[in-house]
Amino acid sequence: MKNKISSFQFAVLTGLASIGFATIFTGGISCFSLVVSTVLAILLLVPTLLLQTYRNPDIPLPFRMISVFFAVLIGIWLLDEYCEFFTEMVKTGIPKWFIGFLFMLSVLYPCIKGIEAVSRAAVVGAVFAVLALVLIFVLLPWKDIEWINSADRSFSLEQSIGNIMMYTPFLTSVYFFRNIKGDKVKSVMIPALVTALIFTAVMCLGKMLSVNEYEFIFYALAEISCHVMPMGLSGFFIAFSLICVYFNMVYFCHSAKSALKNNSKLLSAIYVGVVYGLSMLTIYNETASKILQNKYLFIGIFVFQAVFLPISVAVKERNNEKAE
Amino acid sequence: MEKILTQNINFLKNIFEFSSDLTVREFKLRDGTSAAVLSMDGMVDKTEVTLSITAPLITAVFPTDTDKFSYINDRLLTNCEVAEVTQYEELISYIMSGFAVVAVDGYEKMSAVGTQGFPYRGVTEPTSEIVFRGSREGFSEPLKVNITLIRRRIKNPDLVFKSMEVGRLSKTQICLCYIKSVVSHKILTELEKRLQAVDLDTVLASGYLVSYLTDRNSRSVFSTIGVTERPDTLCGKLTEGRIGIIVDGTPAVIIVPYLFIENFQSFDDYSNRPYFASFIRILKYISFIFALYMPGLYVAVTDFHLEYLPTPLLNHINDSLRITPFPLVVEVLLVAFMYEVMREAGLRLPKPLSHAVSIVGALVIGETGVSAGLISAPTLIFVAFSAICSYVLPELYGTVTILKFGYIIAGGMFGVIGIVLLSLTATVSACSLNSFGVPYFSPIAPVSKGIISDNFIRSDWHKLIKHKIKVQNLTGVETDFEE
Repeated sequence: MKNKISSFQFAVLTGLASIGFATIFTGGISCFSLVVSTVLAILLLVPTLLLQTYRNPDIPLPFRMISVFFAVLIGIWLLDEYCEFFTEMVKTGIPKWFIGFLFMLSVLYPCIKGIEAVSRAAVVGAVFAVLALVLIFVLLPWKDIEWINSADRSFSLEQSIGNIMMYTPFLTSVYFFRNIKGDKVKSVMIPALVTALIFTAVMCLGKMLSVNEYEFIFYALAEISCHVMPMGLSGFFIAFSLICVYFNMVYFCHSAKSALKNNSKLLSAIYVGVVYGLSMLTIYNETASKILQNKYLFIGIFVFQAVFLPISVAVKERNNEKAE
Repeated sequence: MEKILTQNINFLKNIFEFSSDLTVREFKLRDGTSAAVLSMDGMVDKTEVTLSITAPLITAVFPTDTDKFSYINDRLLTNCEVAEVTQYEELISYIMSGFAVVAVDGYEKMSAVGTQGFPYRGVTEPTSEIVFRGSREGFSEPLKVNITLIRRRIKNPDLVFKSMEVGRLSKTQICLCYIKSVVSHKILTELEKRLQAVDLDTVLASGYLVSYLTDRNSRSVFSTIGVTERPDTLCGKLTEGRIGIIVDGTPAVIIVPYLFIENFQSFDDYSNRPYFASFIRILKYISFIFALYMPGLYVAVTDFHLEYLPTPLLNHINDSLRITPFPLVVEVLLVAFMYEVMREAGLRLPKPLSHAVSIVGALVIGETGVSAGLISAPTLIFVAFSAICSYVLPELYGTVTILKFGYIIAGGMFGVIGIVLLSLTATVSACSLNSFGVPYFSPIAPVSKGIISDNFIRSDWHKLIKHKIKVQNLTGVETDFEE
């Protein structure tokens, strides 16, 4: 497309991509951890935001390759988490490889279609996602739910990983989507960040309500909602979470393609294949899981991309300017 | 052309291989000069030819030293449509279009006189787009009649009709129709380019052109080309910057660019009170969702997610399904397939027979099938209601039917996850489409101004005219077409 993509569309896509993790995020975390990890993640994003605001640099190839690896890593985590969520909560007994295969097969098409079509579809997806979420919250039996008074102030970085994952779409991938209309920080990153923060607040709310009968916060809320309806609302939640996770995966595939400056169908197929293959490896092989789903590896790349990359790029650009 | 009349006539007869409908009326003028009137039988009004051409020519006294050809054209032929013909190709084209051609010996030219008089179906109410508060006139087959129907509604010199010819063998006349002050000239040029690229021998209906008009990479179950049989609907679309393509011999006029949202708009919406019109719009959206998802979700929930159903309904469905021999997904597919067969049979058969098909469908397949224990009653209700819902949007019937079968299969194989994933894929597919550079899902995605006022609801006219936008001004329009 010669036209630039509407910033509103892209903000919606980034927002959906960021909350993808939240929907399948296990609830074994305290509100305190949620708040601390959110503050940490946002602080880490400041250099990226500053670099985006004042410069729109061309990222060197080594950094691009790291971003591609990061996108693959996120894809593996995402698919693994979704398979886990689906086979544990929705339908036990279905093999994970089958759910993963079905999911990645359907993801292949939007990966091939291009970011413009995906961002347009994200607007439609977001409408249905918001409707499902509103319905769940409207039908929560607020009067019957008790609030937890005792505040858990424990903090665990390992448990916070899921929350930090919400902020991964704001990282370097935003540098690579260059065909966006308007100011990327103001019209894309800030609205999407606000969406992520709202979801963090909702997760805190879920934690403060005594609805922890399920491991997944949003799923628990959907299940509680069903008590006031003749039929369950967990179906709505499955649809909602699937929409978010779907766009999350597609977003990272496109970010990998943008990082490599290659929009070919083959690359989409390679991304989908690699993510599926490695994800299944992590599910069925413990050693592979330990390596690829190492929390410190993830945090290390996150910090590297959020802090080191913008600083080194900014310094390099400044030196170049001085030399000129 | 030759100067000798007999040579011209012989040439024409050879071209047509003495076709029986080629009529050559040879006669002598009063001064003894040979002349002839050439026409195609059935294409001309014979009385008109006799009274306005043959009779004046035979009885006319030509002044001496007068150019006979000019005298005939200037003084004898009283028709308003007279054209001079100098080439054989032109001659053939005029004769095939229902003109009577006057040829006089000694001249290398002829006069084509507009005396078309072929039989055609009159202007009747279109059966596919019935309205309660609007004109009862629908397009007919002849191009000229259709042009008149539009011109009568927009009495403005900006309304332009541009003629073209498509089909190597059929030489079908088509006419582009647009308002020059409103239309996007880039879209118009692109349309002309695509029409010139039509590589067909015959164009017998407007539907033949559709695949040549679709944007590159825009092949999908969704149609990006609109069709209407109503002149008032077309006029409304023309005022929004769209272009109509009238094909001679077809009452269905093509409209481009065409957007998804237009499937939910009908002419009656603008005649009814806004509240009721808005209610109907919302009803259409809900019907669309029901038509698409109801059978698929029924299969998915009953086979995979029984916990979504309230216990009394679950028991009721379970009791019904226990006595039926087929797996639920097969049963739903069978019922949906049988319904499509009956619909197709009822559509093509003569009316008295189609009633018989309806009775067989309702009684034999419906009631007897349930009482014999072959089909469960809930299955029949869900499939039938979904079918009724799909009739609310006749333009989307084909799309809904194809997708519905897809959702039944996906729901039967993978449950709700299958349906959601297929829906997302279909949404991406629809969102990737463009109709002449205009995003098919516009103004929803990309979001444009006035998204609510004439899309999800129908606002009052006072509000509507404030948001009246041309189709080429919607967000995300890409009219720099690739060469």
